[in-house]
This record gives sequence, structure tokens and C-alpha cells, in this order.
Amino acid sequence: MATTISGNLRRPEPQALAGAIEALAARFGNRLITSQAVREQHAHTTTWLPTQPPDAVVMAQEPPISRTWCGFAPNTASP
Amino acid sequence: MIAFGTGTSLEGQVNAPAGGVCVDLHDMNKVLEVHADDLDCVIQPGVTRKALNEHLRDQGVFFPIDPGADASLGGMASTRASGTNAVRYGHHARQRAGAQSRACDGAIITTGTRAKKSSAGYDLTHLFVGAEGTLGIISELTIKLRGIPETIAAAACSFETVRRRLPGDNSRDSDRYSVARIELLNAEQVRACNPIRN
Repeated sequence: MATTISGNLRRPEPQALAGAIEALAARFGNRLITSQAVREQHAHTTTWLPTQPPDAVVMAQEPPISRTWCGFAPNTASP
Repeated sequence: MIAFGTGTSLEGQVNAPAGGVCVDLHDMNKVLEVHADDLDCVIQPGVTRKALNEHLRDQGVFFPIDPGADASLGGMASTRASGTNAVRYGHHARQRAGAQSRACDGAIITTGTRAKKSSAGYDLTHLFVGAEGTLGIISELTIKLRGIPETIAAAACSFETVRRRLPGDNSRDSDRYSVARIELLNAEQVRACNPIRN
């Protein structure tokens, strides 16, 4: 595999993203957060780089609950 | 998926250039086991450096890596954090005995053991150290601890130029003086620090 990480980066289709968020929300309830403020907070560091927020934030808990979030990766377009 | 500990990194590790899901590990902050006699402990990734040392302080041991911020130990492992104590204690890769991680397909990968020595196979633990979440998200880690020194002394030394050789700036002198922590400030940095201190 000679591909680079940046070469794979592309935003998911809006429909796929909405579906993924919906599925995550059904699974995690209020531990899934999509508010702009929380998303920006989770992309804000002391770096000089501009803030690039995620689409959603999941507050991880003890396994085995936290194991579930890993299972979503192959079904979405995001890396 | 992007793992988030305390958000104190400097290199944009938590940025999501193509969106995605951020996994905040703040609530996974339990110290699971402490083996003070064996100089190691098992923790969840959201435990912060200061919280761990507070937890350990009555047992005569501490975790020596200090990157400055009160970072989460999972984040420190994932970014191979070092800091001023690295002079004596090395960086995070030297402090890890084993880990449990979640790969992107949900598989649980357990690497390493608490054994002090092992010559068996690939050293997968150190593959995860510094991988910045690209291989999986660390869900549990075993880290080495050190005994708290009986005496600690601090000193400030001034030099005419930065290039002038400092005591303790190589491993031979570090052994002789047992220097744990060095912070080198050039004239500009001293000028920047003084107004804050005063």
C-alpha cells in the first residue's frame, strides 16, 4: 500500500454522515454530542493550526461499551 | 476516528481535517492496579499525569515523564511524549510495559506483559507508542514507575552563551550528577519569562 494518509482524507457524503450520526446516537444516547461548541472544543489545542472540528464527539466509557464505537469505522467513509 | 485525551498536544493530533468522530477518553480515568513493589501500574488512558502521581504519592513511587501540561497518559503514550525529565528517565517509549488497544474493526489487541524482560517476537507495544491513534485507540496501559528520590536539589546556572557546554548535557555527566531535569532558556526566553514571574 503506497497510499498516504492525506491521500485518503475526504469528507463523507452528507447522507452517509447523517446515517452514521443517527446510528451512533441510537447506540450512545447523550454520550454522543454534535453541538458546534463541543466539537470545536475537541479540535482546539495550543497548536498554531486552525481548528478542524470532528462531526461528532463520543464520550467513551468502560469496555465493552467503548468497543462498539470501533465497529462503526468500516461502515463510514471517514478514516 | 480521533482519540482525544486532554487536548494539550502541540502538533494538531486532534484536528479532524476530513471530519469524523472524536472519541473522548476523559471518563476512562481509573487507576486499575498499582504494583509499587514491582514499579508498575495498570491504568485507563484518561488518567492524567498529575492525577496518577497524586494517587501514588503515599507509596514512594511516581511516574517521571512530565511534558509540562497535565496530559492524559493515553495521549502521552500515543504521542510518545517526553519532557524535561527525559534527561534521566527517557521518553514515554521507555516507560511502557504493555498496553491494550482497540483496532478500527473493534478487535482488542493486547501487547506486552508486566514481565521486565521478554525476547519473544515483535515489540508491538512500542509500535503503538507514538502511532497517534492510527493503529488503534489505547484502552488500557501498563506503565513503569520510579522510586521518588530521597533528596532533590534544584539549581540555576548562567552561561555567557548558549553554545557553552552545560554540565549534565550528555549521558556521562548525567550519570555523575544524576541530573533528572534540565530546562535551557536562551536570552529571548528569559526575557519572555521574567515579566510573568514578576
